[in-house]
Amino acid sequence: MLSKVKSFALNGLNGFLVDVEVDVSNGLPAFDMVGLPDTAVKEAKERVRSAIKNSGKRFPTTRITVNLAPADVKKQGAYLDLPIALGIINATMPELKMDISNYVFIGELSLDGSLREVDGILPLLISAKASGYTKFIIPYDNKQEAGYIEGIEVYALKSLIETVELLTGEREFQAVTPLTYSANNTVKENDVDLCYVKGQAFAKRAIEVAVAGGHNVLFVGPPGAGKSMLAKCIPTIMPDLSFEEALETTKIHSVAGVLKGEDGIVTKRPFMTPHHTASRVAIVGGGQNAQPGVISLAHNGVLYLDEMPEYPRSVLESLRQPLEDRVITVTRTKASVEYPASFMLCASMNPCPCGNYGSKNAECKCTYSQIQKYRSRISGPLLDRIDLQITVDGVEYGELASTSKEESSKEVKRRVDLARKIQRERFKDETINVNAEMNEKHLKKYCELTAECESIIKTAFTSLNLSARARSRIIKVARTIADLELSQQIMPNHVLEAVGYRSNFNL
Amino acid sequence: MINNLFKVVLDSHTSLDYKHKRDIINATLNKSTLNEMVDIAVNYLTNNVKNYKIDLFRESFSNNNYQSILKSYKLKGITVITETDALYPNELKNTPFAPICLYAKGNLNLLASKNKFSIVGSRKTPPQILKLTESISNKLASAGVTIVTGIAVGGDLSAIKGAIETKNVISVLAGGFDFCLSEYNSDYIEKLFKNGLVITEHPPCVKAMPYSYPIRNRIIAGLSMGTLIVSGSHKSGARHTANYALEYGRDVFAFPYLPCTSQGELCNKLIKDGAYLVETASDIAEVCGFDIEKSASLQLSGTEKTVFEVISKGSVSVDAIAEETGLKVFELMPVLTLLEIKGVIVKDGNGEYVATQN
Ligand SMILES: [Zn+2]
Repeated sequence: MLSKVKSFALNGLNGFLVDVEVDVSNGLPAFDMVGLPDTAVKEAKERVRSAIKNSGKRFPTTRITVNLAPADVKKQGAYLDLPIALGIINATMPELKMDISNYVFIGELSLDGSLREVDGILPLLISAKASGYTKFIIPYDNKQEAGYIEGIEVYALKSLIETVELLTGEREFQAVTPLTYSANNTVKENDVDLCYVKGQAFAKRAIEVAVAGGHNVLFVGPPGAGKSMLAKCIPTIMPDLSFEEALETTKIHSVAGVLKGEDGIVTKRPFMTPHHTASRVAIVGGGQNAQPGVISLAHNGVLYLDEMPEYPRSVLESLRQPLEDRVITVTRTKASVEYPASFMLCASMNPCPCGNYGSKNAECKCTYSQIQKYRSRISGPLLDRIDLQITVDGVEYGELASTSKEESSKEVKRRVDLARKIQRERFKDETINVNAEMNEKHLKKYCELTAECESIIKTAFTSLNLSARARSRIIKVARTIADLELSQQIMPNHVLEAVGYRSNFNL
Repeated sequence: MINNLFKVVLDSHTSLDYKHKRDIINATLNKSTLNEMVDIAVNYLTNNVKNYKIDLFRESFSNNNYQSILKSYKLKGITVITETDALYPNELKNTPFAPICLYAKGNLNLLASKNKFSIVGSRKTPPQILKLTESISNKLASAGVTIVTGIAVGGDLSAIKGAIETKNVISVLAGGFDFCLSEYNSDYIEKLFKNGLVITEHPPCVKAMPYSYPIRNRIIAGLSMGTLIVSGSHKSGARHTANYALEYGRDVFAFPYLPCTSQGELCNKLIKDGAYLVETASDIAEVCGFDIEKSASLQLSGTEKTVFEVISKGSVSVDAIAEETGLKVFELMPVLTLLEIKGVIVKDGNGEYVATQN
């Protein structure tokens, strides 16, 4: 007897329909699986066998053939346990009259027959919904994630038995209740706030501009100058994550299996801080299952690289392409998978190996060539992609600095939110959200320069030796500065300020 | 007249070295006809240069031949100036081994400029020093000083960049004009032809060899009343320029470098040996008596002036300038960039601003 069960599998962030066909026929006892299963899927045999037995059902001692269609796409993960088990039960016990054709089934089984949480439920459900499927059965622990998708009927069940009970009509279950999204803008450490950073007006302005337009920023300064404190403040002034952005980011976190179960959705802009010993695969993505890397987990948020020159050159150089394209293509043996990676790069570094070059407090012991070698670890092309290069020296100026009231993150965030609102309005018919994401076409359309601005840029390039690659980035930053000032037109002062954040990084 | 013609044709014999040419010229000093001169030269060559093709040599002085030599120079836009020409610069004439002829393209009047000052450096010059070189070159050239330099990437090119707009710049090549466009930065060569002057002691067909550069440097030093060495290791060619300048009794200037900086070893050594230490254009102007424009005469707006004055007191960070001027960072940044574009301040490798002129 043949039975057919529908399920979905993932390729990157995109789900595709998998038809699980189970044929139970007379013959020597055997359990075969065809249709490009990966190891985890092959292992399903053992899990399914015990799960069925431990659910009080009989596992057939006849010939079982499972075909996973389409046969030409590799299926990975343990999502298919549940549909396979149901297919077998349905084929051997037609008398149960299970209503299997109306649902899409996703779930891993443990040996005792309970349903286990799987990665990637959100992208699976979103893809399935887009293909017109509306009724799903998924593991109970994935119910939070499912709650954020409108217009589908999802049953989050605890075991194979419950599933059979639902399908035979023996027991009624409540569909997952829809959840409403609300961004979470609380910061864990409540002593992190711009108002606790004394002085540093230059660096504060720079991060305000950077966050307002999603531009990349680099802090250069001696240890103890407050670089990491400034970086930690970035999340406190970042705009709330919108629902669309939250879904995008959650999809990636879901596939990577780093979604915190109780939330079900990413509600805060990610702030990813990979250690400099992290592998290239961990940072950009890859591996056997073409998993997303840290840069994709940072999508719609911040990637913070503390002490940037400590990261292997190969890792740093591999950031160049995603910084430009805002997606990363992760390749595996057969196909390649594309993950979004639109993040704001925030990096910090010492001015020299000992950290004291240019410091007022301590003497630098490095030679010229040591310093040059250290700085050259960040290549010119990579540096060109960092829009704001800021020197932080940690020195407080004057007595005013200690007494004056510092602006709080909340006040800065208000201006950032306003600038972001202008950008959302500007890009409402585009697929981008912030100025930093503009391409040449967008620049032409939204950043028309007056003759005066053009001539300033021209002079600045010749007299300040700016690289040609820096041009469009300067204009984008100028656009953001104009937005912060609620100015429609990019004015000469905006361009001049943007140019000022490009530091002469050379000695 | 005949004298000049004789020298031009003699100089076109590129297989003869400088010493032989000089000997021949000395031997023909008081002769008044070309024939007499050629006879003396032939006689000299027969006795002193083995297997020299005398017939060809004599033939080159025939009317047809020398006309075609002169015509080919003219076609290439090259003016040949011999040491007895009025245009030949006096400073150079009085040096030992002065070139017999100078081949020139561009504004010849620059040779007569009263104040000529050379700025040279090696290819490996730190970017910050390049910037400073450009700025000092610009300041001197704006004050009417003619900058003399080579053409190599690095210190030389920065000197040219700083001076080219004022049109007060001479570049001395180490080879003939036929190769200059392909061997050097052709953009700047073209600009120099138009807005400055390019000279060489070599006829057009001579290719520059590695050994041509140190020899060329005697012309750079010889033309100038002083020489600024912007960078160089103990081995770099700039040391020849400095040595020639000292030998000719001209002033030598150098930028100071941090110890252990190979790009500046030569500069520090020169300073130890008595060269003038240079940080700003006025350090040179005072010694040489140039009248350079003071920064005040530069057109700065009120805010620009306030900000510039703070920076003039010493290198400072953006925060310190903001604190002292009371300007907000977003008000201050455009002013800083403007001052930087105007070349009166630069960012050092440490994010602080430094005034380039006082
Ligand atoms: Zn150091």
